[in-house]
Amino acid sequence: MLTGGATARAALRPARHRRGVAALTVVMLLFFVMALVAAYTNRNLVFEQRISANGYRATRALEAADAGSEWALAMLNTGRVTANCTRPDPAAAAGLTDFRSRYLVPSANEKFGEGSFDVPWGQQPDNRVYPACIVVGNALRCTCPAMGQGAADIGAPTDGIGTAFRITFRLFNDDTPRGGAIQFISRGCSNPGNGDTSCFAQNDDQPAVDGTTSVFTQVGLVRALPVLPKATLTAGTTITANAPAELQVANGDYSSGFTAHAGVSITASGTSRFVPPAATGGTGRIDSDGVLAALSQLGDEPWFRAQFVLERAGYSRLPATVRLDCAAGCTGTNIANALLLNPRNPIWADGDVNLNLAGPLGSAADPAMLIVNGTLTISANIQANGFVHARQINWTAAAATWNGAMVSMTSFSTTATATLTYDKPLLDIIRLRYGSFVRVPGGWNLF
Amino acid sequence: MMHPTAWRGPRHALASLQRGLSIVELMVGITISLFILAGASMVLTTQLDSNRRLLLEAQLQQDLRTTADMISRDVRRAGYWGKAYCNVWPASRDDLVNCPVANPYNTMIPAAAPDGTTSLEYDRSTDAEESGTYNKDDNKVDAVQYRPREHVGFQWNQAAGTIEYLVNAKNWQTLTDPAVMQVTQFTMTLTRRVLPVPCAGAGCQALGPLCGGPMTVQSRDLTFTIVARSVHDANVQRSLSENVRLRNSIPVEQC
Repeated sequence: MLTGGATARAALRPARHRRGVAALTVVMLLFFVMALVAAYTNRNLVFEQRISANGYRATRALEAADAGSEWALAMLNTGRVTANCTRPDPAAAAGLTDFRSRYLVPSANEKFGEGSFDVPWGQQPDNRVYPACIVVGNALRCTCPAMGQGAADIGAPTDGIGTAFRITFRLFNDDTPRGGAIQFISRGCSNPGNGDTSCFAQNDDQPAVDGTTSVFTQVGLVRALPVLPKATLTAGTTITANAPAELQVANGDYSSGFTAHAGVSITASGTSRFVPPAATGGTGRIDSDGVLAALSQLGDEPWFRAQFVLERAGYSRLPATVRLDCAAGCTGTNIANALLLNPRNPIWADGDVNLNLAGPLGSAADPAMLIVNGTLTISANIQANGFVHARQINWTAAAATWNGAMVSMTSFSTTATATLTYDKPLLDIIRLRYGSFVRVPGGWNLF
Repeated sequence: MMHPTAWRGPRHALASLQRGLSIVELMVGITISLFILAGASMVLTTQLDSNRRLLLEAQLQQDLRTTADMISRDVRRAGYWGKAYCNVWPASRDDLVNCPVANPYNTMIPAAAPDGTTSLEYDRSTDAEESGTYNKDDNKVDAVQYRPREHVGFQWNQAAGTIEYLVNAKNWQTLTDPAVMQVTQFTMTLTRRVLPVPCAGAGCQALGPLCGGPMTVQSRDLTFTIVARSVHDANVQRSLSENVRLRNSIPVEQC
C-alpha cells in the first residue's frame, strides 16, 4: 500500500505543475484586464492633457504673434540695423540700411496718395523677404534680410524649444488708401521649426510647427515735419549779416518761393544776394512779418506747435525721435555719431549745439533733421543737407553751406558768408518719409 | 494485465483526502468573504463616485474654458476695420477723398459697463475672411452678402442657464451645452480709459469733425466672469474670470 501510494503521488506531480501554470495564466489575464480598466479610466486624463497642450500652444502662438507685431513697429522706428537686426557697431554702421528702408520704398507713382510706401519686391512675391525672430530663453535672435540677399543665420536652437514669429509686409488691396499707412502680418508659432518648413523660413509655405496664429496690424506715419517752411531761412525776430559778413540765400522752388523770412527785420550787407525762383522778380524776402514776430514772442511751445503740429514734450517722446542730452553742449561729433546710427530719424538736442566738425552733414538721400532746443552755432565748414530748427542760430564758418532749410525761433546772425539753398526734393524726403510709425485705431485683427 | 485490486488502493487514498466542509467552516468563510466583499464594494463605489465627479468637473472646466476662449478671442477683435488706414492723416489734403472719416465698426452696446452687464453687442469687420483679400471692406456693418457676422455679441440666457452668441440679426445661438452645465452667473465689466494723447493742452488739440471738439483715444478692456454648475451634480460648481484688453482703441470726439 505504502509503496503503491508513493507511486501514485509521484504520478500526480506533473498534474500539480500544470495547475500552477493555469493559475499563473489566470492571474496574468486578470492583471491585463485590470491594466485595461486602468487605461480606460485614464483616457479622460489623456484627453484632458491633449486639450490643455493645444490650448498652451495656441496661447504661445498668439503671444508670439503679438510680440512680433510690437517688434516690427519698434524696428520701423529705429535707425540702422545689422543683418541680425541688432544695433550696429559705429565703425561698421555706414554701409548698413535701416529697417524701414529695407522693407519699404517710396511708391514710384504714389498710387496710394502722396507719400505712400511700396514694398521693394512690388508685385513679385517670389522676391519677397521676411524679417523674423525666434525667442529662446527670453532673448530674441532675429534676421532682417534685404531683398536679393540671403537671410543671415538666425541661430535656431537644436532642441527646437522656443517661439518664433515672422513679419510679412503687404501692399494695400485698395485704390484709395492713405499715404504714410502700411500694413503687415505677424505670424507667431508655438515652436520655431526647422529649415524650409520653419516659422522663419524665407518662403511662402505653411510652416511645419505645432501651432500658428497671425496678427494683422495697420500702422500710420506721424510725420516729423508735416509742413515745409516757405523760405530757405526763417527767423522769428531778426536776420543779421553785417559787412563783411554776407548772406547768399537761394530758393529755386516755385511752390515755396521765399528766400529769407523774418518776423522783425533783415539786415544784410551790400554783397548779400537773395535769389528767388527764376523769373519771379524781386528778392523773395519778407522783412517784417508781424504774425511771425507775434508767434515768436509767444514762446517755445506755440512756435513749436505751429511748425510741427505737436507739443514739444510729445514730439521728443515719439518712438522715432533720437534724443540727445546736450545740457553741457553738444559738438559736431555728437551729432555726426547720432546721424551715423540713425540717418533717417529726427535728432532732438536738449541744449546748445556747436557744429564744429567740418565735412558733410546728412546727404541728399538721407538728409539730416535736427531740432535744437538751444543755440545752434555753425563754426566749421560743413556741407549740410537737411532741415534744422533751433531757438537761435549763429553762423561763424567762412565756407559752410546749408542745403535744405533753416528755421530759428528768434534770431539768425552770421559773421561770415552764409550760403543757404532751398532744396524741395530733399525737404520732401523729410516731410514724407521721416517720422514715427504708430498703430492705427481699428487696425488690429487676428486670424 | 494488472490486478484490479492494484487500483482500488490509491482510489481509497484519494477519497480519504476529499473531506467536505463543515457548516462552521462554511459560515466563517462566508462571513469573512462578505466582509471583504463589503469593503471592496465600498472602495469601488467611492472610486466610481470620485471618478464620476472628476469627469463632471473636467467636463465643466473644459466647457467653461472653451467658452471663455471663444469670448476673449472674438471680443479682442472688436472694432476692427479693414480700412483703418483711413484714420491716417494724409500728407496732402487732396488725398482725403474716398475714405470715410470714422470707423464704422466702433459701436458697442452698451458703450461702457463699469458695473457689469449680462449682454454685450459689438461690431467688427470680417474683411478678408471669406474672399481672402484684405482692405476690401465696404464700411457697412453686415452689408456684404457672404460676409455676415459683423454685428456679434454675447449674452446670458438666465432662464435656460446658457451663454448665447449673436451670429446674425437677432439670431442668438447657444454657446454652452445646457445638458452639461447650468450657467448661474455671466457678467461682463467693460471699462474705458482715456489714453494720454500727444498735444493734449488747449490750443494744441486735434479737433474732431463732428462738433469741433477735442479728440481723445479710448482704450477698452473687458473682464468677464462665468459661474456654472454641473447639470448632473449641483455640488460641482466652478467659476472662471478673464480680462481681455480690446486691441482696437477708438478715437472719440469730446462734444
